Amino acid sequence: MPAPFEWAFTTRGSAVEGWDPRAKLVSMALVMVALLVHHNLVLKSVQVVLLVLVWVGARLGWRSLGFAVLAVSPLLATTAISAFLILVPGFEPAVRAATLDLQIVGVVLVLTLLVRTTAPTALAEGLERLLAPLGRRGLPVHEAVLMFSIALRFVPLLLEEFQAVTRAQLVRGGGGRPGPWARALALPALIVPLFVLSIVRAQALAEAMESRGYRGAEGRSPLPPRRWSGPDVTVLTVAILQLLGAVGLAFVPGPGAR
Amino acid sequence: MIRVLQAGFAYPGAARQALSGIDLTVGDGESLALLGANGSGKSTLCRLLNGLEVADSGLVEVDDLDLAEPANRLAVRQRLQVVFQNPENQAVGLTVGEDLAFGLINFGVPRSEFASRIEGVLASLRWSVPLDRPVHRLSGGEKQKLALAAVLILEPRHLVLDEPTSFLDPRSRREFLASLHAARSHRPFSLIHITHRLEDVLDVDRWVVFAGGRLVGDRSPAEWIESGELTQWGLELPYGVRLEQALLHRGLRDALWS
Amino acid sequence: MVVELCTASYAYSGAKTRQVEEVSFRLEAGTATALVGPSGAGKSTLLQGLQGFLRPVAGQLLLGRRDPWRRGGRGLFGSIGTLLQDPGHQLFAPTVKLDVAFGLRRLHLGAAESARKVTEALGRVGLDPEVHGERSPWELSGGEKRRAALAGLLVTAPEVLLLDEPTAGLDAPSRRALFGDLERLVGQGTTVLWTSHDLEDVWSHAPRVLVLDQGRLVADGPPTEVLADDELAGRLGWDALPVLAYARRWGVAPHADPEVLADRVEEAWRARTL
Repeated sequence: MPAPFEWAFTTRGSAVEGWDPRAKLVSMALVMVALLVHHNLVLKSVQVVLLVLVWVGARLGWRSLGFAVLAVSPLLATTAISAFLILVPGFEPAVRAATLDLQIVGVVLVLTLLVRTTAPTALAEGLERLLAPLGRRGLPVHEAVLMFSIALRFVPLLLEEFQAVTRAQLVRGGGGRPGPWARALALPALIVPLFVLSIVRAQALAEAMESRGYRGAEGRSPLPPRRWSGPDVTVLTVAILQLLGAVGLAFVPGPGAR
Repeated sequence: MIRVLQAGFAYPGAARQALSGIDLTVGDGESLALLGANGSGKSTLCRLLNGLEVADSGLVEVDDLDLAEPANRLAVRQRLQVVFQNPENQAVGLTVGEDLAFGLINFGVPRSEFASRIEGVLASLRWSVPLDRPVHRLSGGEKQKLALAAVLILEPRHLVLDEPTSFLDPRSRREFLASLHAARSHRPFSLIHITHRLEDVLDVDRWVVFAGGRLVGDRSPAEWIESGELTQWGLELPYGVRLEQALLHRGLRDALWS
Repeated sequence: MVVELCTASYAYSGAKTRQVEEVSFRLEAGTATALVGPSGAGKSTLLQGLQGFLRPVAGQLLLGRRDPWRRGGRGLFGSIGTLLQDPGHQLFAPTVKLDVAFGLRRLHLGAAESARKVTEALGRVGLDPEVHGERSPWELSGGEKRRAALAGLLVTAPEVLLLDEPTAGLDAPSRRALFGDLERLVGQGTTVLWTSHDLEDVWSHAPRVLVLDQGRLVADGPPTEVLADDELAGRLGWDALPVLAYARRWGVAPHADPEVLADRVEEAWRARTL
């Protein structure tokens, strides 16, 4: 049975899991910007190597690293090819292609690292804490974060239901004559039941939540205080340094710059 | 104590009344079954009792709190909880532990109490399950047990079950009912069990039968069985009970004790 | 249509173990059979195999004595209709009539012919085309939704009807109505196979019971034999059926109607006390 979120988060006892999710979220954002803002091949290589080190530290394994890269290999290939096509083949385009590809790998690694080392609940909590100041100004931060966790909870179920609905309609002749028109016309038969099921489910869930005392952010037990610890500060510092370095280099031409 | 006096309700836009002239009293610690064919109004009464709907006429009171007052709703929900029919649409948390904590958070219970309350409710249901188990990995029966635990953790004085076993296979149904009995012997609460499966409620104090939105009888199970009037309301007694009645009618009382 | 499995095995692609292992049975046209077994025994997989979503990894499936997986045989699966446990997965059109008509798309009939078939199908399941036809499928009660979904299948006149837990959540009158529908269909020559957890229903309404346990067929026969098998019941964790427990207690033949059983007990009792 399909369950893509099975590989999303698993406990491996690595230090990375213990880092404060706020630190991870903020660092991730900083590192992503740091990856994208400059064109220096050397710095990009350093950044990617750093990420690989974190990956290893998180005990995620070389195989899954390979899979992560493999997953974006079509994108890597087309980027490299277009870099070569735009410029006359030579040293410069090769550097350019490598820079762009490293950038892509870097982004994939950052995102995967975040998702695979942080429990969805912790992520949601981290987001809620980070955005709390906005919440005090009246924005529905808590509600938005709760919606996100509930959506996550139902994804595996939705996938199963989509399969069930598809089979049900195929058996009723939903497949019909092959051809794009017939397929398009049959689409409502697949989408509508899922929509209706989801709406019915949302209503039932809302009632169950209300019944258990939910009334938005009001009256909820406050989140326990969480202090920033040594590792969190380290991670943040490294990320900030990367960003500063990247921004600095963005204004300094060097190998790989255009 | 739950008091319903001449309550009436119609869903907006409906052709007929879902409930009319309902008089019902439930003392603390009593157990009732609400019986009747689909559409007879039993689920509607459940929704009136926990404030999801408000009666159009008459009085609905839980522990002297009038449900017509919106301000009383939260207080009622502290005392009266509901387990709904569909095991898929009640759990909010991603894991067992999270879902159990949901209600506690809603009512602002201090987080320091969570661990003991969680442990306590699982013990009262005689259910040992790891708190980090993802909800989508639970079977239907386990999800329904979770729903039961998640409302009992709030220590309500009254529990309403709205057809809790209709989606469960026989084994899960037995387990659920066993958990219910275990919980009730641990900490008595009054019970309103809505069902059309009479075999699940042979041991309650009263059977209250609904038909066409009206309450047509409120007697003990023994009185109902002897009267032979259940079939006219679309209810079928379990085989064993019908057989025993058939034997009694043939004057074979002695055969029953052989 | 005759449905036959010959030591067929099914497995999900990429799975290490087979969900269904060397199952053989034959369903004749105009018969009703119940398929029972614990959760995870392979019932859903078997149904998917019969519908054509899974190809046997061993053995053979024959529909009307032909192998649908050979060249030119895929159309045979079109004669099989399946009613899912949750009619919400099948109903989608704005009105019941339109939903029932969905299955006719493949046949490219004229409007009048389509309308006639829809009305007929609705009638066969006890839904009034005038009363229920123009309503939205989601306004119907649980039992009515199932019947609307059933009408949507019947409209294509399937020769084989598979039903997945058709009585789950239904009250006594709806259940009686459903089995009435099935009896009528069987009388018209449809091959009916339904899965169920409700052994009382199976006892009362299934002339034949197939029992699946961990992918294998462990019993095949009338309910009086299969459901009365204590060893089997113990292994599968079935509650002893009350009807059997009582019949055994008084040493009489069991019967689905308690009045009939009471008569038998009366006879035996009076004979004993003479």
